[in-house]
Parts: sequence; C-alpha cells; structure tokens
Amino acid sequence: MRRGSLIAPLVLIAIGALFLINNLNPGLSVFATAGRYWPYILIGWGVLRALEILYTYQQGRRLPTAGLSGGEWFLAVFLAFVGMGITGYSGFRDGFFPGRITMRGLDMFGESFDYPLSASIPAGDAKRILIDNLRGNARIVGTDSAEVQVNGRTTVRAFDESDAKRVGEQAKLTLVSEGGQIVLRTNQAQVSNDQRISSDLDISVPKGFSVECRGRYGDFDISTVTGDVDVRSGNAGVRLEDIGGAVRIDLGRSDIVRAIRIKGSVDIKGRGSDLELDDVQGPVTVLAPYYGELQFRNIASQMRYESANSTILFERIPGYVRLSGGDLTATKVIGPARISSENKDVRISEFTNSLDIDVKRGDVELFPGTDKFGRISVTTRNGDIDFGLPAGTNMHLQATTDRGEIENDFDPELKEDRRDRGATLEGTPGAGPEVKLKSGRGTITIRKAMAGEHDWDTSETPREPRPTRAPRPPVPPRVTNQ
Amino acid sequence: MNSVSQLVAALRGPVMLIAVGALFLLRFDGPGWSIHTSWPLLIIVFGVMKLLESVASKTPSGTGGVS
Repeated sequence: MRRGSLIAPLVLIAIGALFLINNLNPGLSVFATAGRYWPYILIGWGVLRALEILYTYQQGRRLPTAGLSGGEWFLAVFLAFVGMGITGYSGFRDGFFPGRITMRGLDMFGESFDYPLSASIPAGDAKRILIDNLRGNARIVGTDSAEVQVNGRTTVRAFDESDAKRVGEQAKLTLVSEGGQIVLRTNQAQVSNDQRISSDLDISVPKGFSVECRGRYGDFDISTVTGDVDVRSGNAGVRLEDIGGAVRIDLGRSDIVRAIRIKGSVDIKGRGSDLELDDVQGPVTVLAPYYGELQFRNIASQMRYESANSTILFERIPGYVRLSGGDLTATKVIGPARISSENKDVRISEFTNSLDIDVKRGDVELFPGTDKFGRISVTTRNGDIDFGLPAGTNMHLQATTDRGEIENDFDPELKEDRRDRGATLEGTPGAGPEVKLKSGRGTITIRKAMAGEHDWDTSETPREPRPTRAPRPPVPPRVTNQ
Repeated sequence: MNSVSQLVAALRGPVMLIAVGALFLLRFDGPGWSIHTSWPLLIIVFGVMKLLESVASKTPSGTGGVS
C-alpha cells in the first residue's frame, strides 16, 4: 500500500476493536450500532482520500494515477461485506439480503431461552382484535367461544440466563380491552435489543371478529373469521383461509401470501415472492411486484395486478391465471381483459369478451376455444403470435407483421399481402368481432384449433420448444485504472 | 505537471467510495432504497466522473498546463 495512507490500517483496527468490545460486553448493542452506521466508514475513507489528493495537487506534487489502489478496493469490498453481515445479524428490517438472514444470524449467537405465554380475556362487546407482535409467528383461529385466548412462547436469545430473564420480564404480554377492541401486545419494543426476542402466538378469537396484525418479522396464519383481516408487516408470510370480510395485506417483503376462500375483497401491497389466491368472491387488487410464482383461481370479481412494468386485468377468472418467470398462462377467463407488460410470453385459452394484449418483447398464443370472444387486440414489438380458433369462426381479421411472415392455415379466403420484409393478412370470413394482431418483428400464425385443446392447468405441461432468441450483445468491459 | 483531468481521474476512486457508502446509507436515512435497487447510480457516478475527466482534458487548465 502506498506510503502515507493510514486509512487501511485504521479500518482494520476499527473492525477488530468492534468485535472485541462486543465480545467483552454481551449486553451492549455494539453490532446494532455498527450495522447501522458502518457505511460512514466508507464515506469517511473516501473523503479523507479525496482531501489527500487535493492536498497533493495543491502542493504541486505528482498525483497518483488512481485514487484508490486495487488492494484498497479489495479492502473496501471486504468491509462492505462485513458491514452487510453485521446489518443482517443485528436484525434491521429485512436486512440487505433477501430471505431470513436475520433469523439465521440470530441463531448463531448466544443460547435460546423459552418462556411460556398464556392469557385470556372475555370478548365482551369487542368485535375486533389488534395484534402487535414485532417478531415471531402468530396463528389466529376463529372459534365458537366468547373469549380471546392466547397461548405461546417467547424466545429470548442471550448469553446467559439472567440476561434472558431480564429481557423476558421487560417484554410482558398484555391483553386488554380498549375502545371497543381487544389489544394484544407482546411489548418487544420495550427491550433495547429487540432482535434478541421473538414470540410465537396461538390465538383463538370469537368467529365474528375482525383481525388486525402488525409486525416486523414473522408469519401470520389466520383462519375461519367472518370479519375483515388487515395485516401489516415488514417481512411476513401470510396464509389466510375462510375469511368472511375484506382482506388487506401490506408487506415490506414476503416469501408467500396465500388466501383461500375469501368472501370479501383482497388488497395486497408490497414486494413479495409467491402469491396464491383461490376462491375469492370480492375484487382482487395487487399493487406490488411479486417475483415468484403467482396463481389466481376462481376469482368471482375483477382481478387487477400492477407492478412497475406490468398491468394485468381480468373481469373474472372462473379458471386460472398463472404468472411465473416471464410467462403468463390463463385458461377459462372472462374479459374485458388487459395485459400490458415489458417482457412476457402470454398464453390464453378459452376466454370470452374482449382482450387487449400489449407486450414489448414476448410471444403471444391465443386459443379462444369458442366464438364467444369480443374485440381482440394483440401487439408485440418483438415476438410471434399464434392464434388458433374453431373452424368457421366469424370475425373481422387484420394481422400485420413489420418484419416476418404470416402463416394462414385457417381460411384460404383471407387476403395476404407481402411487402418489404413484412406481411399483412386481412379478411372477414363472416361478420364478427374485430381481431387485430400486430407484431413488430415475428411470425403470425392463424390456424384452426378445437376447444379444450389448450389447457395448461398443470405447471409441468410440456411446452413445444421454441427457437431460442439471440442473446443480447455483451457489454464491453471497462478499464477503471489506466 | 498535474492537469485538472489527472486530478479528476485521481478523485474518481474516492468519489466512487463515497457513493458506495452513501448508497448503503440510503437504506436507513433516505427513501429506503436498498443497494439492490440503487446500484445503477454507481454506474452513473462513474460515467459522470469519466465525462468530467474528458471535459477537463479538453479545456486548458490554469495551474497544470495542457496534458
């Protein structure tokens, strides 16, 4: 390392001192502080080095060609990794890593001590319960009993038992009736080191209750209540079953949301991975990017999914809609339906009413199955369109590809016109809805297909392999230091 | 002997380092972006530094002369 730079050794000394202080005082939340403020080390380092360089420049001495050497960059990356690890360990909301790093980090240190929890209160006039449990899982079940009952345990991680006891006593469970509602609190926020404590709760409430849950980390499992359900959490898996009212879910992050047999509406916000909705009577709104597998089945009202680059709308889903990877697959759906997306392969079979698809990059396969479809408009800037319908279907067809071919196996009466590198196909086999298919670059195929021929109702459906697209050209590497 | 463009080039490393630290802090103090979201800003900062460097090398500098 260059002479005169004291920063690297200072950083090493600071990291060592941090671990030492933490080991000597288990009660201190050194890691929590470090996990919060470590990025300032990088900033301080950068500022000091910038001052060094400005000073050198002012003195008129020779400047180094690179502000930071390779070795120093290596140290900076190492520091960032250690920092992210500490942040994850000290349990900041959803950390820097996806998934359960906080819990894993927690489990590595100290010993765990369990304390049983138990409380009950008559419901009285109250019709709802508020559950405030920062960390831990909660299972809420509606029963025929007229009281609210809570069982469970609090787990405290600590280095010795007296420490654990102190923490456990600070975080006492309270269950009170307050302004017409029952309020359950685990009071973990009272404890300075809230990352070391979590409570798993088993709650039974009268069936007619509404349930409101707040938390930071932990799953919620709610079933057989006839009221509304409202879940807000930083990071949670949510499973709902047999809910009579409206459902509102607002999560910072989630690995799974599953709702089955919901009578009211379902509103979901936040980021997440998998989403599964089955048998919902009310309208469904999902304003969230979900990156895993999404399934919608038996949705009796409108379904709307919106993320930064996709909008998906169906009037009703008697069958199912599945989104997984870059694909949308749907069978037995009712329009008006709208799908607009940056990058998606779309396959829809057995749909009625109008359909509007607009994708930037992706193939579209449509098999209405019957002639009950309405106006259809499909636009893909880059992708093939495959449109199969029963022989003799009436419509007014207009298909255009700017660059590619059109294959017509449906009706030889349709008029094909090739020009430049594209083609158009137009015709009206019989008065019917307007069908507009447009591809910027790709092949359009119109053919005969029977009803029920295309049901992709198993995730393992083998799919005809498509020719792979050319990969994007690689970005040329940059040289940082010449 | 030092031109402004050399100064900008030398400052690029420290500036990038400050940017990395700042992005990690955004997690807590800013709009709550994590580094997963905000990393493209690093490319932008890098590009801006490169741009300044080339601009500086085209303008004659007062202190250091022309490179």
